[in-house]
Amino acid sequence: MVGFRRRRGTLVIILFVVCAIFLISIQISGRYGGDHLHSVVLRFVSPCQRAFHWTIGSIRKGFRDYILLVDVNKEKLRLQEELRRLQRENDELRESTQAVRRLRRLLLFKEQMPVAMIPAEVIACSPSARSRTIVINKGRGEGVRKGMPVMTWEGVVGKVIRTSSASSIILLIIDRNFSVDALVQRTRTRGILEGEGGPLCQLRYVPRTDEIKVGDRIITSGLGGVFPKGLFMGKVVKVEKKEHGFFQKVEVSPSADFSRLEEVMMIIKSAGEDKG
Amino acid sequence: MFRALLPLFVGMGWLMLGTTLVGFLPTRFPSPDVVLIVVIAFGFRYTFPIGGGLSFILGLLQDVLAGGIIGLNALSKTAVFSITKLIAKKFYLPNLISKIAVVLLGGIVDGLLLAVVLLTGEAMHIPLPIFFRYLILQILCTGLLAPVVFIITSKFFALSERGEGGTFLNGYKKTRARGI
Repeated sequence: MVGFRRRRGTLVIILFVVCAIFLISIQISGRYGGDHLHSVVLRFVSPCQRAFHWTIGSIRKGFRDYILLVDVNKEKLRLQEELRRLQRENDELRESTQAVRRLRRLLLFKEQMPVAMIPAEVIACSPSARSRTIVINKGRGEGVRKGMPVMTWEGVVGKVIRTSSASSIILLIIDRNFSVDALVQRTRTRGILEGEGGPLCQLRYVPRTDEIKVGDRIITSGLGGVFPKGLFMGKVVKVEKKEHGFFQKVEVSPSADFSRLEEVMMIIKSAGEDKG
Repeated sequence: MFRALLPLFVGMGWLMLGTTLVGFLPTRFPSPDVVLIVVIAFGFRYTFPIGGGLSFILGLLQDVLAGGIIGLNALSKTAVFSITKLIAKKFYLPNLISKIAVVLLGGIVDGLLLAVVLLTGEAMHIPLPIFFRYLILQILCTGLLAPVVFIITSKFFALSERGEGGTFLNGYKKTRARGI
């Protein structure tokens, strides 16, 4: 009895080992899958596991969200800086996209025109409110000559009035000093298109008898030797016919948007250009 | 009754912690075998019947939660407990470092026993070199966690030993001798 008590511990261990080997063997042989035991134990154990998981998750969250705020703040500042950088980059990309669109239109227009052209960028506007001129970044060095007609894909812009070696001044069609011989495309009525210093131009010397309508297109007549024939200049926006007089008053809105001029084209071969 | 079951609850608590805490660890680290450390702590504290029984039950629970072959960890943990008990009887291991060395040895025994059983039953589905590489990493992780588990577990063991003049579980012989 004493000997059994002494060896009891060893016998218990041997019993456990035999049980374990028995369990393993019946599972390996396929006679018992252990599903019942799994489901019973999991039913009791899984609530404890959920509680532990929630506790550890809460501690971790608290640590991360409150104790590590220093890192969060640094990260916030870094992200703000990154956001500003990306916004700047985005603005630059949008600008590039716009420029590409404009240049593509200009290129398409250049390809469609049967004459040679010099492209140029608008670098300045007139400092005076009375004169409507622009400065471009091409001059005599690039083949620009005084009197050259200037246009964009939208229509006629003006003509070159001054040149230097690397820049030139363009007189816009809306300037008071500008005038060009023009035609109403639909009726072939001739007139003189003159600038008024404002946003609109006037087609002068149009006989009262001619039927001009709002929306009629005004093109260059080719007379005068400066502008080739058929270049689009603008549309009629107002017609005023008085009871007396020889002529009617026709107001024309230029086709080119002068508030958004960024690139222009100069027509090289024109009979009216000066050498100066 | 509560004090008698306290080691079991402590072991189950560590098992729950092991199964839930692992989810928050980076996946490249193998999970430490917390049950192994608890079983070795039992080996330094409890007798063969009590400690062996606890080790067997914890091993079974570990098998059930792992979803593998039931009895595999029960066998290996019982074996590790027995070896720890024998080492504790033969050698004087006063400090934590010596106990950590036992943990490392226990990890090797545990892993080798598992490999032998799986190979015998043709149930080993991963190449042996990968199995042993993973085993070595797991043993090292288990060794790193061992001091924490030993210190916390000893506090709980101290709770179970309070009152009635001495260790409750280890001293059950005294109460039996008194005829209670």
